[in-house]
Amino acid sequence: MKAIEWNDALNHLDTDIVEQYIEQKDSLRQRNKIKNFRMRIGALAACFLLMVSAVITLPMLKSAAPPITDDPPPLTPAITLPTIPTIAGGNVISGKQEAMHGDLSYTSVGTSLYCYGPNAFYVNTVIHARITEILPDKYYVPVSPTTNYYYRIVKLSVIESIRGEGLPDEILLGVFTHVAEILEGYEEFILSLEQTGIENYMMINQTTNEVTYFPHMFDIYSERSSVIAFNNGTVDASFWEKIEENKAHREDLLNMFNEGKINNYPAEPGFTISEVKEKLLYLMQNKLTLPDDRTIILNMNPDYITAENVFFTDESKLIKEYLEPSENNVFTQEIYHSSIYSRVYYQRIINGFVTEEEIIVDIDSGTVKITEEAYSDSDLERLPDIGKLLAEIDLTQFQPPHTKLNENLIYRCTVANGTYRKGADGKVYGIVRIVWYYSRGRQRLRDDCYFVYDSTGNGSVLERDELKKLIGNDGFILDFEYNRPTNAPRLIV
Amino acid sequence: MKRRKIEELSDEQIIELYFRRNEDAIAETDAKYGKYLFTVAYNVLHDKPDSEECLNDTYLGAWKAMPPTRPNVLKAFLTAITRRVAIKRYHSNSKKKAVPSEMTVSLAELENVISTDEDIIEELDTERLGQVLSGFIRSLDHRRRFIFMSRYYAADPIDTIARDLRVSRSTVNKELASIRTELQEILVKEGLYI
Repeated sequence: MKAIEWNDALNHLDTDIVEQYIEQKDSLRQRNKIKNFRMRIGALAACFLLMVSAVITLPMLKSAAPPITDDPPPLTPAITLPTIPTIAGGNVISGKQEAMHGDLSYTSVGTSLYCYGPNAFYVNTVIHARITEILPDKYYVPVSPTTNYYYRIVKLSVIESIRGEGLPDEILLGVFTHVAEILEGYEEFILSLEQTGIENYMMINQTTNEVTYFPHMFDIYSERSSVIAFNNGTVDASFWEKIEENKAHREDLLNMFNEGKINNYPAEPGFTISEVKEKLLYLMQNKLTLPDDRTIILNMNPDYITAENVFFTDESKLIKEYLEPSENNVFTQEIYHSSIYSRVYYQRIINGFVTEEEIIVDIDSGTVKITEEAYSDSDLERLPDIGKLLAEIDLTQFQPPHTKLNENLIYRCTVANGTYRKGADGKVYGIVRIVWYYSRGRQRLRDDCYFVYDSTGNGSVLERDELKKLIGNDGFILDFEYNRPTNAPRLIV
Repeated sequence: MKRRKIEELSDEQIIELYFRRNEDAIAETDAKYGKYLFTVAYNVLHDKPDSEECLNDTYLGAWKAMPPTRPNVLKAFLTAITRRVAIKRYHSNSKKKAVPSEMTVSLAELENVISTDEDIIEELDTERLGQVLSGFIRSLDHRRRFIFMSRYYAADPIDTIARDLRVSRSTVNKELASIRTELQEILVKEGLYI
């Protein structure tokens, strides 16, 4: 079969398949607007509350709660964070609004290159560096109510920037714990990096349970290949051999490091550092080529974004003022580059809870887009205190309203979550969602219910359809089918 | 000042403009879907002027097709036209030189299914192959269907797919590898694997 035939055949796909795909794509992107990666910190903040709060009792919710049974299931809070200094009384960001400016995914310094093929070497920001320290503690970022990503922080001393300018002499690398383990034992590295945080990058120290801020954060540009290890000044192939030996994470590491095959790298055992650099520079400058000529490198515009690059029109300067943090109110930010556009996304967080208000600044044109659901000053003055409600909630008092419990269902945990939303009537509502998690063998079963509070704190329980009428088809409203188990989710890293 | 979402016409309103032969239909289509369609073309061609021309051809194609066609999902209808136009141009361009686009990347992944040898004489019935592929795609669960369509129909980058599904790039790569294996088996079974 020829490529042209393949592509022509795809043009003959049944129309409904393409329609379903487009609708699925739109639906995913719409949902991700709410649950987006960029809001990890915001969501995290909200999660904290819940997790912290999933311990205590509160009569306020009780009045609106589903019937309480005599025999509630045992409670295992998903995450407990007893001492988070910046989180108190439902106010996640008290006095430290600027701390929310931390989760900038996909921002790269310098030029980003993308390669493909069996002999790919991913080139982004490339440094020659040595590890000065791997911090002993583990850090994590909750990415969903049931999943944390665990990291070790590696301090790197930059000997030379092979690609990318303006890097500090010492940079921090946040890598999965099993990646940190295989980095140990080598004197120097050539690494391809991507920047994940610019300032106040936030992670939670697993030992102390404290939120920790880092001035910046990098990650290894993973997938396929991006690390060459050196000992005694020459390439040490044992780095890749270690991958084969790592039983627990072999598959993941193979994916990250191109199946550990030395011939997939612009390096060979015994090559000196300068020989590898020379070869790498040649490849980058000539946009090609490893031996079989199948590597293609796509250039992206070099970008290093500062506030001056973003707010340069009158319109965007006004927005900059609007985005200034105030008491209990802050915007998260994410810078996103693609080959088509570069934008900064801002998302309003109130009392640590993510809202639907989003502002997009186009870096190329300086134009601004604001969602319809903008919160006014008066809105901010009249809010139900969902932080307080969550802090006092006793999850043991609630039963899943839609699930038929039986002895085959094993209770796993209950998680409460909160958000603010503007209703179709223009009023601001605080919404608390409770989700129950059960398992049956490898299957998982969930249930949920929603408490909706108005500005006076009066609450009622709404079914999903009723809530959709009030706030629209919102990503906060889950869409799983009741009493219909799904396969077990991906294992926690 | 960019158009805000609130000012956009609904798909039904845009289709009505086409049916009334109102040329605002093109402007409204461009305002609502222009950037998206440009991305579709750019994923295939990796060339801005070519992608812009594809957009123009798409609008022309839509103008010719509506009426009589009344698409169920306007965006899907436009996507199909853009892809068709872009693919045609892609294969024309790739005869002259390698096209450094996501389409090239995604085709390279299919090396076990697609031959790079353009001298193969035997020609396939692409309509039948399209039917087989439709059947194969229907057999995939929603997530894998999305991954397949994103990668091989829309030529979306792995990163984009991972971001859409909120999974890691590794997961997408693994799913794609498994889908390709299954696809190869189906093609062999159907006698379409040449």
